[in-house]
Amino acid sequence: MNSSDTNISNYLQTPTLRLLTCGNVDDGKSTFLGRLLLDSGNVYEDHLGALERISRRYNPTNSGPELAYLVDGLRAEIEQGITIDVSYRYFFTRNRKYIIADAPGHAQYTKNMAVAASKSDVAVLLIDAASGIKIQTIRHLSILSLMRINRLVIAVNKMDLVDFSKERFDGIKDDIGRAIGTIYGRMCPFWSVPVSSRNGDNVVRKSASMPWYDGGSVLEILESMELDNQESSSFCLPVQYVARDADRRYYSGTVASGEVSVDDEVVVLPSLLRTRVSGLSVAGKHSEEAKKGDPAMIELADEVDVSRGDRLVKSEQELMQGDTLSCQVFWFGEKAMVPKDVYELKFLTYKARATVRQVNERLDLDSLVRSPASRLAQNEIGFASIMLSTDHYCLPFQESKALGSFLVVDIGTGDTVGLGTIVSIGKAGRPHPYATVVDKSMRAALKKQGPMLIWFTGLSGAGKSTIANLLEQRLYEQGYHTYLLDGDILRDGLNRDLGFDSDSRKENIRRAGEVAKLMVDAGLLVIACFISPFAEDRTMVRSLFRKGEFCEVYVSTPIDECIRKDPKGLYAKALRGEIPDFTGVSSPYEPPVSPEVTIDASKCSVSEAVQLLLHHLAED
Amino acid sequence: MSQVLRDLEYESIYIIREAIAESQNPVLLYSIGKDSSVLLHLLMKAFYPVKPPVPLLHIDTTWKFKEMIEFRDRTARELGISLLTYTNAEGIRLGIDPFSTSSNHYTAVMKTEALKQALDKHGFDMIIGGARRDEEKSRAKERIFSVRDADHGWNPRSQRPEFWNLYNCRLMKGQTIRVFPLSNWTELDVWLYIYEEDIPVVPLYFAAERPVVKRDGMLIMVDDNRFKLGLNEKTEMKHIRFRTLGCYPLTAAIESGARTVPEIIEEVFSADHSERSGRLIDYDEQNSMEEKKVRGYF
Repeated sequence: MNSSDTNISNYLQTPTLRLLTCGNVDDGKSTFLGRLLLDSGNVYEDHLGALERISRRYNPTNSGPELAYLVDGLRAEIEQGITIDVSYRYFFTRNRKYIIADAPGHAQYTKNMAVAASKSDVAVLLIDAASGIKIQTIRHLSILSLMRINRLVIAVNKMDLVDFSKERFDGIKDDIGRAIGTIYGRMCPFWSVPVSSRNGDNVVRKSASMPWYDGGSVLEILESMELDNQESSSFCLPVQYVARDADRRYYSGTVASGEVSVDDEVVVLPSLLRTRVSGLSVAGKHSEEAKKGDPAMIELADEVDVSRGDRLVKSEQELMQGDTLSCQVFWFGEKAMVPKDVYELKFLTYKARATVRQVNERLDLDSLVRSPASRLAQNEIGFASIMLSTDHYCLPFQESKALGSFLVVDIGTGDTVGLGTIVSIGKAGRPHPYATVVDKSMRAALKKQGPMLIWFTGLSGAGKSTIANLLEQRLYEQGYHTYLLDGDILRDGLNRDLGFDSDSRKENIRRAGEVAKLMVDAGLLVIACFISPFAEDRTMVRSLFRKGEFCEVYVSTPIDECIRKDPKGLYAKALRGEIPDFTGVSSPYEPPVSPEVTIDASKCSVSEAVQLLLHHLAED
Repeated sequence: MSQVLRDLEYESIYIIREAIAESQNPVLLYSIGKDSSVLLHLLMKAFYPVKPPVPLLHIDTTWKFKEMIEFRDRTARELGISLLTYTNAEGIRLGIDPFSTSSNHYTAVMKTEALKQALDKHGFDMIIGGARRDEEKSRAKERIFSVRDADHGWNPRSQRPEFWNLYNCRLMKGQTIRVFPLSNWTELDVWLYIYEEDIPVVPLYFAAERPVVKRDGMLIMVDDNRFKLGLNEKTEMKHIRFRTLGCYPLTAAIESGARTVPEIIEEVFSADHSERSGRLIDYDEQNSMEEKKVRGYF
């Protein structure tokens, strides 16, 4: 192109920043936005002319144009002087494109605030310098945290009304920092900027009236803001549309997480049919791979039955399966949400009938207190369990916004009456995982570790306990929170009612698996040592965990070596026939087919074995 | 492709696929302008290598620029997509034309009413259009999947909330949905994309010597001999181009030297007037577009 090449290439190469603006109804949000657009050179002359005409008509006593009218669009909004609906604004600088979702501040329009938050990367929260934090500010922060908005810019507005006081600004900054800490449950990075939208201080241009402020203007902060994305990386493509030509079928859909390449094996959910990707294109071009966000068109090697709403994954274990969603619900319907009501849920491309099983709690946005509830009224947020007519595969919202959320649709009116975000998914009939505010990922984050179960299997005397003990010692020294789950201790307490017959052994392993699951849920690194000779039992334990949370360590020391060492003299007894059903002697051991790690303790030292394990764990 | 354009393209493809997958009888409203050109290009990409399973519909007021109609027919022929056109015959019979009728009444009859008649005639339930939120203030508030009542009216106060890429397409009797895949595109994005993807557009977007009449401060092109010159009006040749295209008597040109897409991009990047400032119908009254949309205008 020509002289403006460099400017345009900056614009083109920087990811668009989607931001939402929110704040109490009187905190000057529309004026702030008008100022932002005006000072960044994004208001056209004909719009300014129209602005002056409207200003004179609706507010004849005021001198000068009312900047807020630049963004208040609907007639009712101008007449009532309030914002009713989310309005989208587009502007660009030399560096970046911006999409602003302007969310209404009025209490009854909480729904729209959630709409605006859903696609935003960052929130600009306005606070009136004169009046400080209000209940509305807290409510908005709560919604931002529930929608996982993790970048906040706090614009302390109307600084001109408090004589540009540093003390006033610092006081509000401290208050908002505490509020964010409480609401987010951890520190969420935030920037605070003293602003006067009316005069233009620190919106686009740095203020001359506040020399004590050494940070950037709001726009300067936004210009350099980087976006990252920490979400699940397991491949999942919700099938959106099946296209056909004379002899082929093509499966289209946008990759919701992870990536896929030509020749990858894939599983179709829910049918569990397995096939292979034989051809791939992205947005009309042939491609070798498709990654998160890419609108793909996939050809499969086999003629399998795939339709809209199905999902393609690499492994069914990477998603959670069940028919009962434990979820957080934003309720918008005029009619309250009550148990036994039937709705249609819309996941990305999948629709299913569902019954409200139970409303558990209501969240008070002002105090953040959760109180028991049996129904959710309009504009309330709460926790509920919802039962689907068939099993569904999904992820918790904390791991994937795309795969962890759904709309609740009223079948009679077609209206969208709720938004659900998934906390966990389970099976009806089983004790249901209760929706807790603090969840596994939060507990683990506090411990700065990824929780998992390291399951040692192998013959008696193979060296499982010795290796496991040293492994725990090393992990402990490195600051990890661990627990070594020992079969003997379990049999002393929890499992003292169990014998050694085959049913009891099975139950012993099942309980060990469930206990380990609770501990992993608590955020711990759990090490378990069980002979666990049967593949079926080990598979059952594995199925309790997400992929990456279960590490099977097969201690493969040959039986001759175990008999030679025989530390507890058990083999001697078993060989004399004194112990019935002894693994390796009178009962079989089924070696794992594909364990994560295999260690032959007769060929390496205990510390070498532990080094190998630590190396493997570090790679995951 | 650059990140900004790729993100927009991918979002639009998702929306187009979702609309067609959820629809019993979809249609793409093709207005021949640059946004429609981009929309059509995205439609082809969304279903590649298969031909898109949706026809095009053009509401022909009979007052479009001649070059637009030529471009329309050539495009449909080359892409091999079926093209439906519709004209409000009753409006023609009543002699409604943009010169002798108020622009408000003309638009109501020849565009809004014609569109409603065409949609009813074919029973389309999902109508994909190229409107963008940055064009006008009431469009800035419209959802991507926007439900219309049985009379095709828009109710801005009871819109379905939209979150992430979750779109509720459930329709009650008589309802239809207007779908706007280009919601998040700006005029600049559209031109950058046309440049990068080498998308054909109507030549009227590029500056050339054309016959115009200056009327109420606007430059109106004399596209055919139906143009009635007023007293003291005279046709003159000027170097002009159009930022948007509609009915020629109601679409003002700008004086411009931009003959190529990069020159247009340069012009848009440093423009000081909005894109629709040349659309006479937007200036009938404040909130004019909102009023039209409430009654069923696109």
